[in-house]
Amino acid sequence: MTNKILTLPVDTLEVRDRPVRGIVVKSKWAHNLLTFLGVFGPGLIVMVADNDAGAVSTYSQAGAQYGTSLLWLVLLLLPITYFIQEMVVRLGIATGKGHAAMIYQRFGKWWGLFSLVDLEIVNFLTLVTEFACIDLALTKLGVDPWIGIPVVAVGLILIAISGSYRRWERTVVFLCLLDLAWFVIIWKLHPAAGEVVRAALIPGMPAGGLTTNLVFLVIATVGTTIAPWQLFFQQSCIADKRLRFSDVPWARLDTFVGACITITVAGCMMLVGNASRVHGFHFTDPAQMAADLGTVVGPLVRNAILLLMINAAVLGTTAISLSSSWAYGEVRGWPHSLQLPFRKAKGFYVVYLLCVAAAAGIVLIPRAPLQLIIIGVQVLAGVMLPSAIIFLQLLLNDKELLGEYANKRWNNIINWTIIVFLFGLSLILAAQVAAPSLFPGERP
Amino acid sequence: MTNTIRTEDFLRHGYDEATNRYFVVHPLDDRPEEKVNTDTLGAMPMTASVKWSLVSLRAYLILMFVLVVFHVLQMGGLFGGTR
Repeated sequence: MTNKILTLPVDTLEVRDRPVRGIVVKSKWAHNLLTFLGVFGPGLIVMVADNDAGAVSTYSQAGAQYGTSLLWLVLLLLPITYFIQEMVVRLGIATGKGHAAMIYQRFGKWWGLFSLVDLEIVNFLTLVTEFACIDLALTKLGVDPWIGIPVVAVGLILIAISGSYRRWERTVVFLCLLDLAWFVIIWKLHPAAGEVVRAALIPGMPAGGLTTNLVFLVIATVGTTIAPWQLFFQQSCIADKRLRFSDVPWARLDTFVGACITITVAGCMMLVGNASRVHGFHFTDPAQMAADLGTVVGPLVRNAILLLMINAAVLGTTAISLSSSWAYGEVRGWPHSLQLPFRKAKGFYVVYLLCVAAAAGIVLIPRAPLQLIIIGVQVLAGVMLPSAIIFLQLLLNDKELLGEYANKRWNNIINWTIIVFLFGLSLILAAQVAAPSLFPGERP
Repeated sequence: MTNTIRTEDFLRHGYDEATNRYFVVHPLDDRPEEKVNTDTLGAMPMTASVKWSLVSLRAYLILMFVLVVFHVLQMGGLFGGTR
């Protein structure tokens, strides 16, 4: 028997929307594979979109300044990012609602408003950094940003307003898979495999010790790997896709696959930064780094890095803008689904449109220190993260809300460890900024 | 083949024992599933210590926000520092 598409006659069952349409298969593995592929998407997208323009800047700067010595930190972030997003999966599937809606309902308007304002501020600043990176890359590719940036912005708007969640998801998953080209770049750069493995598995302190700049970069690395918008995005995405309780294991797998890809790609970005350091180039921004490496390795690597910067920024922009518009739509009670056409969810799509257009417009204003802004925004995301995770943690311990899907004891131990780790980092940063003379080494 | 499939089993369990066939449904094509009803739950009960912890967290966050902005401006050379 060949697999066939079937629309079942279900008049005797309680069907509120439409007949159930599916595929009949005869083997268990085909059933599992197709079910996984149906669920696949939100986890991959949230993780890979997290390797956005700011991430390219942060990881490559970390590699350019500290070589491979922070690779272990990136690897350490794999379980952390997975555990945090896995909680969002359970919350999203159990409630069928977005994160902003849950905070409003369970903590009240006051806390809901704070969370929403935090999210919208950091999201908007991050969006500016996405377009800043596109600007840098386009300029190096010889494309006038006054033409290139509006074209990218229009493309980003068209991806989302088609009125089909599936169309948006397929387009974005394709862009996510393009990110695998970072492995080709690494293959062309020939890093020392032994050194890479050692640096990834054995934690070590970079030469120069604990300086303000190192802490700043470490927080930026954490902030770019696990960002507050991810919590809001994945939960809303899961709600929009209407994932079911039976999809929980597949959604976990989707998230884990995404986490593995994002962390290995992040490692690749750090290794590209390291290659620029090895060749003696001074790091100013990733576009300049690409141009510098191009003089040594050839135009293929140069152009590939620049195009991947744009791809990273496009992915980040669509995901972050959607997390903003989903959250705003949930709180305002507006229709908020990618399944709806523009005329039925005007408020939701207008917020998305404004996010993209305003961020693109700001970047076209004459030059600012873009790399500094990019790193600053990642740090801001890093210091705001513990607060977002605490709300998540409280929601996940809400047995009245989640029942059997609530956190187990071991979940809580891991999560509180992560929260303490993140608070520790932000406190060190605060101490170093407030009293730099207490710490040895370089000054900001 | 459609006639031999017991529709209700297929929809409820994704499997029809009689024909040994599996049914795969994309989440967007499936019937809406009953979720936890959050509308009737109201606000989460919080002890005074939890409330005060959240207030302290909010104050800490505002402080850190100001500190990071200051540090970025400092690194940008606005207060005579260097990048």
